[in-house]
Amino acid sequence: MSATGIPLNRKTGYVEMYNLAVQRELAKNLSFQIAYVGNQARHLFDFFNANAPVPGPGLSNNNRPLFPGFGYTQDITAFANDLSSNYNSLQVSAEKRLSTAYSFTAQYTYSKTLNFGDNSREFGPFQLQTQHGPAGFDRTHSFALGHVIELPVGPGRKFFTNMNKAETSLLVDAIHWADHCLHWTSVHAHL
Amino acid sequence: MQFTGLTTAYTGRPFTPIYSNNTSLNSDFTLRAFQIGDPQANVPRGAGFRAAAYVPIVTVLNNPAFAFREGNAGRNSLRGPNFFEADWELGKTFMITERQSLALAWQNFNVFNNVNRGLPVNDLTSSNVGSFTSLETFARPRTMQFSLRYKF
Repeated sequence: MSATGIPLNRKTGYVEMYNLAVQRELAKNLSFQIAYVGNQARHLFDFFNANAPVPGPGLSNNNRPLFPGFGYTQDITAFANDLSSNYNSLQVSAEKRLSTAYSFTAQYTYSKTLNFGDNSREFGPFQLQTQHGPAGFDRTHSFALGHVIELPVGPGRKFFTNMNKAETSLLVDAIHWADHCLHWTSVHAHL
Repeated sequence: MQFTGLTTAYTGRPFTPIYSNNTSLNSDFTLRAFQIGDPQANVPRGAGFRAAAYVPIVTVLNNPAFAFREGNAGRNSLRGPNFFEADWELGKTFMITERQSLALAWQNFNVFNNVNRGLPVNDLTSSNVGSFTSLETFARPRTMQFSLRYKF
């Protein structure tokens, strides 16, 4: 028979988030932002085996914390709100709106996330401090660039100024031909 | 004619070196590794870290000095490989009439065919510890897609 323990006074977990950002228009259609973004989470939910055998010699069941007093050799799933995590980051981004020929959004993040386990404790329940470390999803540097560039080809552009017209007529011809074929088959189907 | 794209790059995510055999602990927990050197120095070719920087499982099991003890290697103390992917598209819209158009697109996912490896094998009792046996989540080989869209 296993048991589950829930504390009578469970603390409510919470997250405090904060950020400080400065945004500037560097040039027409070009904006730049630099920000510090962070959060702190407290009293995060956790569960652990409160009657897990303490590493040591002998029969492992005899090393369970509740064995000497009660002879209890089963697991106890103990709920707790004893974990915390924090996130700190420097976020830099630049955005160029589409004006002449291109637009882009570039983002760079330098960050660190620390926690005690991504789901629950990964190691022994009796050494909470040794669980502390970077989160499994923690990536120190992260960069993303999205772009749209209007290439200088086509009517009104530098190269292949007449391309669009020629290709369009070719396409219209192709559509007429496809339409003709369809018409031809439908006519013959009726014969 | 438009050249559009999304290019992403980020450094690796962390992982923990472990022994999948915890007999020496005589308990239920996962046995954390005993670190004796720098796992990031002299990394063997093709490996994610140097497994020789940790006490081998045979020693852990047979040397009484390691009995009933957790290792000293920190949780998530190692880093996996970096990730890079460029998704680029070349597109052109042909106007047929004022209201109808044909949009032709050539989409390339992972243009440079960059191999985005997943985390290396972190189990020090495994024969292929440190080697890469998987791709990172969402990693893909170069994939091209052509599309022709008729808008009206």
